Amino acid sequence: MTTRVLVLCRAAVGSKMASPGIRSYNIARVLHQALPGAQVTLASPATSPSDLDAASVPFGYERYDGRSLAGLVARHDIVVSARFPLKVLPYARTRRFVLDLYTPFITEWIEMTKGDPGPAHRRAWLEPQRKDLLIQLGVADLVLCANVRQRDLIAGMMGTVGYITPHVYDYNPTLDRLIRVAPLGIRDTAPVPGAPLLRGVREGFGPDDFIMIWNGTIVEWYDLDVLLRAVARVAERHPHVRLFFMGTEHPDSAGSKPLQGLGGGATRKALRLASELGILDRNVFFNFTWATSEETQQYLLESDIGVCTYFDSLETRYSFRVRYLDLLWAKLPMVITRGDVVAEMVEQRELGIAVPEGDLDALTAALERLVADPAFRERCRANLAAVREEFTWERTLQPLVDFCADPSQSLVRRRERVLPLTMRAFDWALSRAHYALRFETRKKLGELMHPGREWPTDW
Amino acid sequence: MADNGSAPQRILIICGNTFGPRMSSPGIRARHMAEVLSAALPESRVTLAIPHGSEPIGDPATLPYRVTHFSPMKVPRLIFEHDIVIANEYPAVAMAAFPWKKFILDYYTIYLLEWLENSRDTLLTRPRKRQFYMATQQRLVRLQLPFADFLLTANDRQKDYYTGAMIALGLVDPRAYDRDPGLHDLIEPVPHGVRDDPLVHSGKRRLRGAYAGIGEHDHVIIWNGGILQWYDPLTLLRALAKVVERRDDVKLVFVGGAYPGLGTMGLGKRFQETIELAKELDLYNRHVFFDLSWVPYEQIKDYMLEADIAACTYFDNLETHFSFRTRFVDVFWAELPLICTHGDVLADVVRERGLGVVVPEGDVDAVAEAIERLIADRDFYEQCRRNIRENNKRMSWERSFEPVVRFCREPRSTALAKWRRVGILAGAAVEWMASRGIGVWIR
Repeated sequence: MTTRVLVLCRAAVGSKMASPGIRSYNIARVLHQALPGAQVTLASPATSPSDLDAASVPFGYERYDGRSLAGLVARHDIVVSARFPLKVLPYARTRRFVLDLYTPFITEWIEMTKGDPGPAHRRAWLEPQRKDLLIQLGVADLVLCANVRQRDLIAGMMGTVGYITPHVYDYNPTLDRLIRVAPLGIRDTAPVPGAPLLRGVREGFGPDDFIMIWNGTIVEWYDLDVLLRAVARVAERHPHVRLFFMGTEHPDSAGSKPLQGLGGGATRKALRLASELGILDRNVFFNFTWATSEETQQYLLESDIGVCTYFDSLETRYSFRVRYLDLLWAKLPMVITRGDVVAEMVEQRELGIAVPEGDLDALTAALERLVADPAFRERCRANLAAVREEFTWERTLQPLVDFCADPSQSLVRRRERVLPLTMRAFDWALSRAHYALRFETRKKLGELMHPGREWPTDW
Repeated sequence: MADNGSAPQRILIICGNTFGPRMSSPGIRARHMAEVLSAALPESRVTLAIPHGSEPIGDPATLPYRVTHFSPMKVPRLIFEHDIVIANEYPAVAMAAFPWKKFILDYYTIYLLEWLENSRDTLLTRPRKRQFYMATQQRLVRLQLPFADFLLTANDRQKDYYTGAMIALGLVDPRAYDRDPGLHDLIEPVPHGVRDDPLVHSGKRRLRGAYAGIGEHDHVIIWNGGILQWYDPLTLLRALAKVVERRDDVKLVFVGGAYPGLGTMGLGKRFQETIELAKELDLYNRHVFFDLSWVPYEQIKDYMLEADIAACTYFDNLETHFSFRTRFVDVFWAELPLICTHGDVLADVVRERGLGVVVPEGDVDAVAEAIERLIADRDFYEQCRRNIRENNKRMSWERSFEPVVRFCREPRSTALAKWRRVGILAGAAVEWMASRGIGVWIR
């Protein structure tokens, strides 16, 4: 019997994909390739700006909306998704669910909700999210995560709420039939440079400038302050350095006004500081749209090094940043902050320099070393080439392929979870109702009574 | 009493396990905690509460901290008399009754995994009872975590686990996260330290000469601590059998079988298997010796100083991944090169800093080779010893307890506000008590 696998993507797929889309696309691609007998379908929401051409991919491609979703799930045996909508949950009794937590969303949510609408609002919003996550973990036969630290975090969640039962543990004391590490992989196109987009083309970029690329969004947890100051210092001695922010707008906030969507506030702050330091459009350049996949590749191949700075936080500790994979792909030496797993790898395997959090002097020294020491850059590039082979999608998704090849290996006993999940669902519904009544209704009423007034963005 | 930063604090350390000369790691930890805190905070008053029937170590009159005995009935009174309480288990009413006290929860192991392993040993044939027991124990953890104003773990991996646990229970306050995004004021690793006693033998022979088979010039390998379910002594025995084919002067001693105050723990299935295999391989009491009692904390030093090599083999599972094996700490103290299985944090330290040999799981040949290398290659052996000595400076109790001292000096916690926790705690308490009540009827 053919296994039918549904890869349920919650974001856009096609030419303008962010990491959720890229991941779903590659899951579908790798599963189709590795399991010749299986029937793989990639599905993306009808509301998302997806432009994938169904005829161009070897696996099935569909778009779904709220109504067609249940039918779609019913037609498959295994469903892979980062979050199962409420409607789909009853199918957990008869279908295998793979929960794809390649980023520990809860720490990201806490970070993203900083500042805006006030603590009570934020808490009320986070509570149902947390409870929903516990439900998601409860319906999953397999949970995927991006690194061992995330595995430990998820094990802590699942162990505490009672999902690690003696049955699970006895058959599988390493828990790798329940939680597996399956990080994102690098892009599968060959790094072949095309027509230049920056060097000698874009205003302010000379053909021999030293280009440092910030290849991702700008969000609250990044430390742009220290980076811009370091660049300003380096630029005094090496005027040919260029820091290029590749794309500031998240594709999922498309349609909103520039700098109004996700990370808009952080970008505005960075712009202000760069102009204060007098390096804006001289040494620091912002690209205000989201770069397409092809543009991204070209930007990367024209750059000399990749940079990324952030704060010591839980988000950092557990993260596995997608942008690093692109740096691996382009073999760009990295200057990044210590604290996450990739920074550990950078230090152990000499892929660049990892600096302490917020340390302006160390960061300046690291950037200068990479500008001035081409031999070191070459050594890093050689090491990067070796590491790159470990992060092909085929390799990172192997645990998922194993599971789909034999889904009967799931150790989850559904009977045991019915009661706790029902109670969790009630619990979730209570907090969701609380949020809706206290904040959403009030906001709607407010909009009716005071039209035109600016209301806090809803996350 | 209102806490105003650096005001002297009255600190209570509750040691729930056996305390005294024959104590296992919880007692050892409590004792060092009392010592370090009373030295680092001279203006504070430190009380160490030990169970009835335990005896204090040293003369109570000269100790820099007060030692008192406690019974369950006396705990509320003790808590009332102090400002900061450190324990690994709290009675459910304590927080509700004393919301103005600061509670430090000392969780230096993943209890869930320990219980899963131990109950596999004792309740394997009764799956329903076991399942119920596990559910009850998990409720106990859910009851304890809301207490923590500050949570101590043994290493970073455990911090990850308990961070997940705290998030799952809704105990991580989003606002606290803004102030302390690394949660350093909520959960910190506090590993076991290496004792700072001088390397002096008491004079009384414990191994060489004490056992008929162990001679003055034999190479003695020591297994320090109980043989619990998650250890793999069988691989070590098979490796030893290989080594003694080639040389007769290698002896292995298992020290510390039974755990103090924990009944038959340590003398379970794995222990029986070990004895059987030792007999089958014809090593029992010729090359392998068992010291079945728990060795007092002072005497263990003599055992260590008489040994040449330490060994400990286990399985590469989740228990190993999270564990901080306290038995290694005494091995490090005596500067014994260590043979251990890879997978835990200390094995990483052994490999990175060259403190011995790390072997793959269940690899008999690798263990045999490691034993032979440590015996034959004197340079390597001495290098390991030097590395251990260097490493011990980084593993002192003073350094370990720094976060606790910091917290006691300035009880700055980013835990969820107490009144928000009461609801979570009450729910957990009801669940746990119901579970305990039903548990009585499940046979």
